[in-house]
Amino acid sequence: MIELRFHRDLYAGTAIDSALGRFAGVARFVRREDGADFVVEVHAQSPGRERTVAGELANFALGLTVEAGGPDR
Amino acid sequence: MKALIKVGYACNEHCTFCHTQELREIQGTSADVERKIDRAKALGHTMVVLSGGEPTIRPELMHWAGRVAAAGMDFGLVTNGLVLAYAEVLERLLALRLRYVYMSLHCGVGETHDRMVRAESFATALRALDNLQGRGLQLTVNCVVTRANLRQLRSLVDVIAPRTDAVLKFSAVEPKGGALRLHDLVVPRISESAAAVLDALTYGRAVMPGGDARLRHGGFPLCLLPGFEHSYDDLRTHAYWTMVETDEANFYPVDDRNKQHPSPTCDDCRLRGPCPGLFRAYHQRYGADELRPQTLGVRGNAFDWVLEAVDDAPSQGCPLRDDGVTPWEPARHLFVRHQGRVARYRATTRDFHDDTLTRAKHELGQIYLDASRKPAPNDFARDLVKLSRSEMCSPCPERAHCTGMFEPEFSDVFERDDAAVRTRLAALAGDVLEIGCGYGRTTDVWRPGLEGGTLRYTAVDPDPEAIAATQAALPAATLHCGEAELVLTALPTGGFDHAVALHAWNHLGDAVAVIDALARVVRPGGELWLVDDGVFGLARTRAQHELAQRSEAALQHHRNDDAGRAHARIAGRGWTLVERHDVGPTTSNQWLLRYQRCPT
Amino acid sequence: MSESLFGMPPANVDADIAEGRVALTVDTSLHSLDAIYAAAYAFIGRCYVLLERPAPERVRVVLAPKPSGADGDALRALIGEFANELLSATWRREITRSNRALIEAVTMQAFAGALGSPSLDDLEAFQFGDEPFEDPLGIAQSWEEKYRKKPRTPEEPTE
Repeated sequence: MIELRFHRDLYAGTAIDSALGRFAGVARFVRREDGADFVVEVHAQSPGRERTVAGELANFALGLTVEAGGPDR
Repeated sequence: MKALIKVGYACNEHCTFCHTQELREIQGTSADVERKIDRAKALGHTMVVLSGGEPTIRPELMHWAGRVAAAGMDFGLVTNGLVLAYAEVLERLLALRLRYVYMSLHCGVGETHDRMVRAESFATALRALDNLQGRGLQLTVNCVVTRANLRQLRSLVDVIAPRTDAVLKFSAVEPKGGALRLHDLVVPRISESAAAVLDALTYGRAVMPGGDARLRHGGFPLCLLPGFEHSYDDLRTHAYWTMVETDEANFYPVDDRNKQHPSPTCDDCRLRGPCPGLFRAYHQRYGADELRPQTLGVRGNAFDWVLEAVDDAPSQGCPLRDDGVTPWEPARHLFVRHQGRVARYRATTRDFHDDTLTRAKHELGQIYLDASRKPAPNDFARDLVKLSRSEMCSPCPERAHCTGMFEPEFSDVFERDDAAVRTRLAALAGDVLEIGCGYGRTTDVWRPGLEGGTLRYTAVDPDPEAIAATQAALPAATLHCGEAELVLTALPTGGFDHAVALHAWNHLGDAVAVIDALARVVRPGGELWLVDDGVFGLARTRAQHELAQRSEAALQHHRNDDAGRAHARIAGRGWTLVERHDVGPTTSNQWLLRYQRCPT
Repeated sequence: MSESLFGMPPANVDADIAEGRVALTVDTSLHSLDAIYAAAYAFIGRCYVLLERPAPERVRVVLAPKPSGADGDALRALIGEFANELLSATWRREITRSNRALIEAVTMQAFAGALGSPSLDDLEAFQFGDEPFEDPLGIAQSWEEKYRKKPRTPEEPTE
């Protein structure tokens, strides 16, 4: 399992949700909130796949956040 | 009249909502744009507007503007305006007949604007706006309303207010391209964005010099912008005839196919004609619950195609097919061939939506040439000549998407259809109730029965003069002046054998209430006759059209039901349908429904 | 395990060579969030990029090259390149905000030439031809030319 922490100051919550939706078919995700962080656990079949999925998920969430002009306000 | 040419989709900004975001790599060649400029001239346009992407970043900009000017046309730009911050560039373009600028600016708060376009361009855009002021341009500043700027629209009013040449327009974001990809981040609910726009427009009305004349909106359902219904703005209000995408070979008419009027929500709305409705992608996701259709109020039931040009018909072949059918709007253009000449007409009406025009023209054949010199023809049999699709179109492979060639058909469909109904009504006996008798239009139908003692005739009409005229013509008639739904409450239950509404149904304020009242006053087994007119179009000269526009004849229709729509309202209310005649290409615009009162 | 990279300031740059990751901690009073986004966005085609918030005035940018197995040299080169991109993004932002007056003065000089305002003769001789216009501020550059190195978008996992 890989845990990703996305800080609210840096990521749009809706971007993370969209990213989770986009990757829903390739791994299992557990999303929760911890203080100022959105936390996403990535569970996949192998460590290699977890690294790939977690990395692409983070990129996608970042890309959507940037394209949307920043985090939720 | 403008032609819109998209020269390519590259841009010096990268808007979050850009609807051509996936196409940014596509650029048209210079030769292709030149060919399209020449084609625009050949089609009769008076202005070429370049769009993209961003047309001003193309090095050929001056060359293209020069080619447009050399062809004797004006030049326009749909642009983010940044390049026009160079005063020298603007001077050169003005010398090349730049007359129209449609410029993007999405917020009066620089940070927000820059975030939306993903570039630091706000200050440059303002400099461009200042350059554009006082140059005699038709200048529109377009703001796309997204979640990012929703709460800051007044700031843009403040920025534009002192730049008095500019008209400020708020546009709904289309869920397409970037806005579809980032849907939840970018696209607000339409009721929320419309409320914000309504607030900004109201604010603008108060603080902007010029007020309403400088405020527009586009892409918002008109029912969500009360008080600003007439401030809608789109390609047609900007006088665009045609447009061509970068990868298209020929021009196409501008249209609203990416939007829809959800049925049944919008079916009866009086604002439907000019209203953009909802973007299809938005409706697919959210439905139509946010709409507030305006079902009350009067409307017309006819529109004009206005004469634009007359040319000699070629001795062989079809001028439309030979030159390419795509630039001509299937509904709004009308070509009529007669005696070796071809006349071209165009309908600019916004009283009706394209779908209604298409149906009237291509499905129902309700096109007539106005041979009268009256503001509104009142003797259809004499005043109107039916136009029908030419036989030459029958084998044509382009038939389905061509505007078509039409020819006069000298058969009197009005007199024929009217006579058929009158003959049958004259045979009625017993107690007859007419809803909306008008100015003695049917007195000759009833007189023989009245005089022969086989008929007792009662009529209702809201117009006292109509009542007086009918009374004078039929002294034995019983007449009531007032709105039908009110008068009927005072008439005896089961007092009539037949109820008749001739050309009255679409004039009734509350047609369903009248139907229910008639179900009480007509005896079980008795009949209800409904005869009315559907929407039709008239081919007219400009003089005829202007005469009609100046006419003081008031709109009188509360709806434009055809037989199907009327029946849908009546079904399940105590009547059994026994006869139905729809409007079609071989008929006049008159439909008929006949019902029998169900046994109680 | 976090370790410093040779030649890089340990207070700002740290790496986990075994995991193939390198990170730069950025002071947001020096580099705006928009500039950090712009720089990070330019790397998501070839790296996995994660932004962290170690302190209120700090953003830690973690980069992991997509093909795993990058060594210390590769990570050092990568973070150096990112630092340059960040500086460039910050400069682009600041230059248009702080130095606008200077840019305008320089631009006007470029337009008017070194001889001051044009004379009537100059104006008369001016050709409104169809040559491309001068673009000293780079306004007419496409967004991709100006802001992005590689026009790539986030991709689905391909493993």
